[in-house]
Amino acid sequence: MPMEKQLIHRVLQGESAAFRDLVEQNQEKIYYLSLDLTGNHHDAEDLSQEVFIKAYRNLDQFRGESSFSSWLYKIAVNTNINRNRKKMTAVLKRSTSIEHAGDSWKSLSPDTNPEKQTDASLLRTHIDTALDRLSRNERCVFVLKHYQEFPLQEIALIMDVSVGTVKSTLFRAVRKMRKELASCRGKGEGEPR
Amino acid sequence: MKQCRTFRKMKLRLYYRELEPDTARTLLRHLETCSGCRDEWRQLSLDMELLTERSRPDPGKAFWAGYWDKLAARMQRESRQAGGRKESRLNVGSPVVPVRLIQPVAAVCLLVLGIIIGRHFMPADSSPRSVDGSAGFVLSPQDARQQSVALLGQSKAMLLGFANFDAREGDISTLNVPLQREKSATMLKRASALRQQLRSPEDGRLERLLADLEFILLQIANLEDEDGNTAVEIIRSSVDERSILFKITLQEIKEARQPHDSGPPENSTV
Ligand SMILES: [Zn+2]
Repeated sequence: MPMEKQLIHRVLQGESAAFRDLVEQNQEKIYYLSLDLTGNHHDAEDLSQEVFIKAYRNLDQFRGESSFSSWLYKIAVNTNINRNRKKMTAVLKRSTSIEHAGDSWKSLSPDTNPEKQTDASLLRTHIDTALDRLSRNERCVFVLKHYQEFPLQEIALIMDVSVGTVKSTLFRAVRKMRKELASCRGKGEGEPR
Repeated sequence: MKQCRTFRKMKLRLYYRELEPDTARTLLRHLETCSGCRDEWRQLSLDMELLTERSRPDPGKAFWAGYWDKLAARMQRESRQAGGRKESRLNVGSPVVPVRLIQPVAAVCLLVLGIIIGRHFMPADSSPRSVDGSAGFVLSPQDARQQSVALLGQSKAMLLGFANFDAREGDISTLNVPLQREKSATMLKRASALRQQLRSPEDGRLERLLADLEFILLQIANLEDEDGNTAVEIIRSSVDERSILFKITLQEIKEARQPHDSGPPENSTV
């Protein structure tokens, strides 16, 4: 993207206004990644802003080896992992309320359910809870693979780990999430392996 | 029993296509004969569908319109607190072009005008370039999307053949397995090459559809002449479980309706 390189060059030359274009080109991508990583709008907005601030302060360290957006992704992932775990209380509260909703989940079958709308939002809440229960690294790998559609090699680059680590983290995340789904279904079938 | 254990151990790697082709084939064969593992595989596919189908709410036009202003205000605030970093020079939400920017802005406008004139009045090769998996060039997002939808369309006839096959009474020779195998291998290569080219976030659904197609094509490409109706039944259920024919039709309708280069959808779904 030659325009992107020009913009970066202009910002580095002191033309700070060009940074606005860089932000506007990437704000949706970074916001939605932040939303996937944090699970709520407020934190997503906060994280995405932090990403752009860090990018601005460290723009001279961007070597152009990857695309600018990949570099922003890397900042987002690292920033999120390094953030402290202040949200735990809220997550725990939400998990408790989900457990009470377990009975409605049992009735969720694809074809016969008359209250599809309710179940769809319930399903989303369950999946959000399952995501909340993953470790930050697990969530990050899962989100990058399934919601951001990155190949495993690229995830390894973004997270600065080996492809092997990405795979084992991804499989662990999937096992945990399936376990969560199974327990919500109330099948009592034990842990999906 | 030993094979069941191997399947359980390896099923996630099978799902993510992280196994050697021989191992994948052995496991797929095991699924033909073991109903327990087949059920487990179905459940895994269903769970993955649930876990990965996710729509995110759009925060709305006002949010996007005010995004820069809020960010710039925060940068200036933090900068003041830190004693004046470089972001204090940021131009917060100013609609007016500062005098020192007039020259660069004019240059960019001329450049854009040049591009527009070039696109509209210069002869150009309008046919989308094809991708064969070995070529290293990058397709334009629009070409990649068009070729992906075309490939999905081409695969429909083959998928329909499997979807309509009656495993109990059908005659497998009517499917012409050697021909289907060859066609799937070619399509598989193409699907995988095209999927690498779809990098835009709006193409997430299309990319996932190609991944589903790849998965089924891999099964077909691994069919052997001596494989029986059960093998075809597994492919048929893959086509069913993933509702791939329905999704392809939806994608074709969407592609036909949407003007290209339109803005992001109101509700971004991944
Ligand atoms: Zn088995």
